[in-house]
Amino acid sequence: MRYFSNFIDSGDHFTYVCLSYFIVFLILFLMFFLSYTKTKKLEKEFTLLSKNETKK
Amino acid sequence: MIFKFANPLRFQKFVSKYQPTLLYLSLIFLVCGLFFSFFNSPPDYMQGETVRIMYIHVPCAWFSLMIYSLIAICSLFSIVFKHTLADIISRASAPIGASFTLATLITGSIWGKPTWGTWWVWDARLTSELILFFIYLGLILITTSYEDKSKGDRYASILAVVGIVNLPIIKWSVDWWNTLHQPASISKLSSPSIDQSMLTPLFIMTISFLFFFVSVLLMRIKAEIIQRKIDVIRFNRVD
Amino acid sequence: MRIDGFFNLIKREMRICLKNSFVMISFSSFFLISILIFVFAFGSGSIDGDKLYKPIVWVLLIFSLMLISENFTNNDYADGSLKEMQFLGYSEEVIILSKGIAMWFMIMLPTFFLIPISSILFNVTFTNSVILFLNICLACPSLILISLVSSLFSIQLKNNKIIQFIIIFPFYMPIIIFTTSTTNNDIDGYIFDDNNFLILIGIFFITLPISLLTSKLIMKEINR
Repeated sequence: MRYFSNFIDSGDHFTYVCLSYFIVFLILFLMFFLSYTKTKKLEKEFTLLSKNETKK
Repeated sequence: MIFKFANPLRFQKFVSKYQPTLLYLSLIFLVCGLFFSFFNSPPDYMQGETVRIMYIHVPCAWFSLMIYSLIAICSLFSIVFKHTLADIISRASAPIGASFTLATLITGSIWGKPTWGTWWVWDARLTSELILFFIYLGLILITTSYEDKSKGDRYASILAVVGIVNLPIIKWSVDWWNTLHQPASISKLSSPSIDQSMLTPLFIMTISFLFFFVSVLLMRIKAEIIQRKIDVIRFNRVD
Repeated sequence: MRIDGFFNLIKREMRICLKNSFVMISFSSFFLISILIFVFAFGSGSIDGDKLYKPIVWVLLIFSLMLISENFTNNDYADGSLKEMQFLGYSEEVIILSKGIAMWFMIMLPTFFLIPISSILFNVTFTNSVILFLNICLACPSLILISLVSSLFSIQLKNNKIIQFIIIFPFYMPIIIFTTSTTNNDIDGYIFDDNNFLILIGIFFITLPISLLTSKLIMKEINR
């Protein structure tokens, strides 16, 4: 806990560290989110198409 | 073993089964890693509190290189054996690799401001990492620009194999040239030059990123396989 | 294949270049007009020639290489002669090498006149312009090979310029770094650095086999 309280009181360094963690997690989250939505969209499209195919 | 999973259908089943587990594991390790990075690791005697940036910067840099190596191996496999799954893995890995490289560049830049006093220097390590980012961009552009997917994959494979010359330059640039960037602290597992309290969060974060990478990669591979199936259905319909 | 075949290919490329004088004229005019624009943009009184001249010349040269490389590959692809040459038994490496040699002459011939002219406009000393010309002579073969490979990469694309630029950029960067470091600005002018010249030659010997192999793979893929 001592390390953490020292880190919070570190002024400029606190901002730099938080900013870099935020940016990395944002990039990784975006990567995950985009991949997830793309997969779900394609899965939907595929089930729809294969249903139509079996009807024919 | 490899050829067993090289079957797309079997691979898809494997992905559906294990991908969420890998993601949960990644989250668990991330929470642990964050705890160790902020509560259990001391500030560095020279870098101060900014050393905490290293716990995400270094894994990102490792993965930017590792993913490119994976792409290059798959590309070589694709050129020699012409296996579709190798193309799919390369295609799926490139955007993840580019994200890790971008994260490395940004976090390195943020770390450089308080430590070196500038956001960016044209140092050998930084420049070669930037070159890697552009190679990733080239790969993504080539794979997506061709209407004929297999053609795009082939060209991307060739580019990926050519681009591998950059990897040893990035890895050993700090030893070859007198750069501002410090040399690797963990070159041998037996005698790393950093303290255990800093090594623990670094490794936990690396494991978390590894699980994240494998999880997202599996998801993207699955999407790629479905996309190809859709293309086949559409193609047959036009015929 | 006999060596005659290789020389025949070079002759063919050179003949096309000389017939298509438009390429050489467009390169020269692009170079000169851009230099003039830079001179006017900086204003005649404030030019720090020695510092600005080198990067400007390299930027212009790289853009010209990208423009010209297209003429060497796209035209041959469009009229089917690329396929024909392969059909006649010329290996892909020889085809690309002959194109590279012809392109080197195409670039160096006007550059031989353009560098002294432009150095006068930038108030650059004669020695410095000679060193720069030497630099260009040594670095151009690698740059040409890379630009030819990148134009082959994007030959079948409609909007190929941006892709060509992004592919070229990472591979051009190390060459540009070493070409610009062969000469260092000093109070008396540039200092001649032998080591970096040797590095440039070394880069060429690395680029040569890699680009030939790559172009062979791409050309096979184009005709698939």
